[in-house]
Amino acid sequence: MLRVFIEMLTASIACFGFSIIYQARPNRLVLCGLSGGITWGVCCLAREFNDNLFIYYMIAAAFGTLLSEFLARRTKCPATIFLIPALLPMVPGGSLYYTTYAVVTGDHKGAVYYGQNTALAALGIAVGLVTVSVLMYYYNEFKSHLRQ
Amino acid sequence: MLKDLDIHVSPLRAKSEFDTSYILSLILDIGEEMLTCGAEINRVEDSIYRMLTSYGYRKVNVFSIPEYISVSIVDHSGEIITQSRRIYKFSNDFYRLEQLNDLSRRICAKKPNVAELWSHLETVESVPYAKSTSTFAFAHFLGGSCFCIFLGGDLGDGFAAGCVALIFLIMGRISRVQNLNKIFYTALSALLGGLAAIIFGYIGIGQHVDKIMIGDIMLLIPGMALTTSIRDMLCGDLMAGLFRALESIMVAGAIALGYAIPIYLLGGML
Repeated sequence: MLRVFIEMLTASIACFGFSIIYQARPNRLVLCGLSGGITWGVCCLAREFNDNLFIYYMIAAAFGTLLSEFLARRTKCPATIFLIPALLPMVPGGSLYYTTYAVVTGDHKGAVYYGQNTALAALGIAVGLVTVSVLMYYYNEFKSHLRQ
Repeated sequence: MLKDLDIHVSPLRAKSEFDTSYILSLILDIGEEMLTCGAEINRVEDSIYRMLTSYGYRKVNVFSIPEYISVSIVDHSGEIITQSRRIYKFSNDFYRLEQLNDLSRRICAKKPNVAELWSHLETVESVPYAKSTSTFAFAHFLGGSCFCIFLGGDLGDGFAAGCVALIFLIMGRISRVQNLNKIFYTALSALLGGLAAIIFGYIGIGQHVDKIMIGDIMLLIPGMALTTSIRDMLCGDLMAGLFRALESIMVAGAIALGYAIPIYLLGGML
């Protein structure tokens, strides 16, 4: 439990730092950081119910996309600004590195293992993201259709 | 060689207020800026399409991959015009992205003429939002150290990772001035970072050298690019997705190569 709390806290601060690097406006920085931390919290929660990497990454990414769409509506700016920090803690940077490191050092078993993890994580995030954004698109179309 | 690519074609020689080739050129400039600031491919294609159709052009064909945009339209007199852009830079700049998004929405609503379009674009360009170097250093320190602790390092490791992150900041600045090749610059940064991490471990500031390295990698590794590339592929932009995926795998390879050298040379010190 404490471990998850520390992870959420450090993920928030790290996303805050990355948003500065990505030149976000000062009044968006705290929201960017928090969305990263909260999405990671959801990821940890989903891991409790299903320990398949693909599934819990997909759920967390879907949540992160919804959260960033919601924040984008509230602040009237493109959703990407919140989406990238929200997904940043889940991005498989570490395992992508381990994969290529295993390839460079000739460790074939490690390369397959980490490569599989990287691909599953990236695919899980992408599937969650695309599902929600497609649904949001049709929801918006439906709403504007009703208005007419 | 690449110096005069940033200039927007001045509208002085435009034949009329709504000279199609100038409007197309300026709208392509907006699309180019959006891609440079890190917008998704389908957002760029969609924005260009919306802006051009709002002017009443027909048969608007937009194609984009991360390094290239091509647009072909039929104007009001029935003439066919095609223009394209090659994009060399890539970065993440949320502030400018927000402004360009606003601008494209305003253009769809108001359909400004060539001179107005040009001045709108110049205003967006002329507002620099570069934060000071100390703020950037602070942000790199925070990013590196917090990701190190996030991935399992202790406080000492976090501090060391933050210091190593500053090396990446300096390398990034040098590469921007010298226009270094991206793969080469990433491998060199990883080499210096790995060396510094091992030295920190040797001094005793950080206990787990591998955790310091992994924490810092988040600043270099294109994990986000890999994820967006798969997203692009799922959305149907196969070409753009493949290009970005290949690029991120190449960069990851460069990082692994850069880290491997100091580990081989100084591995005994660990």
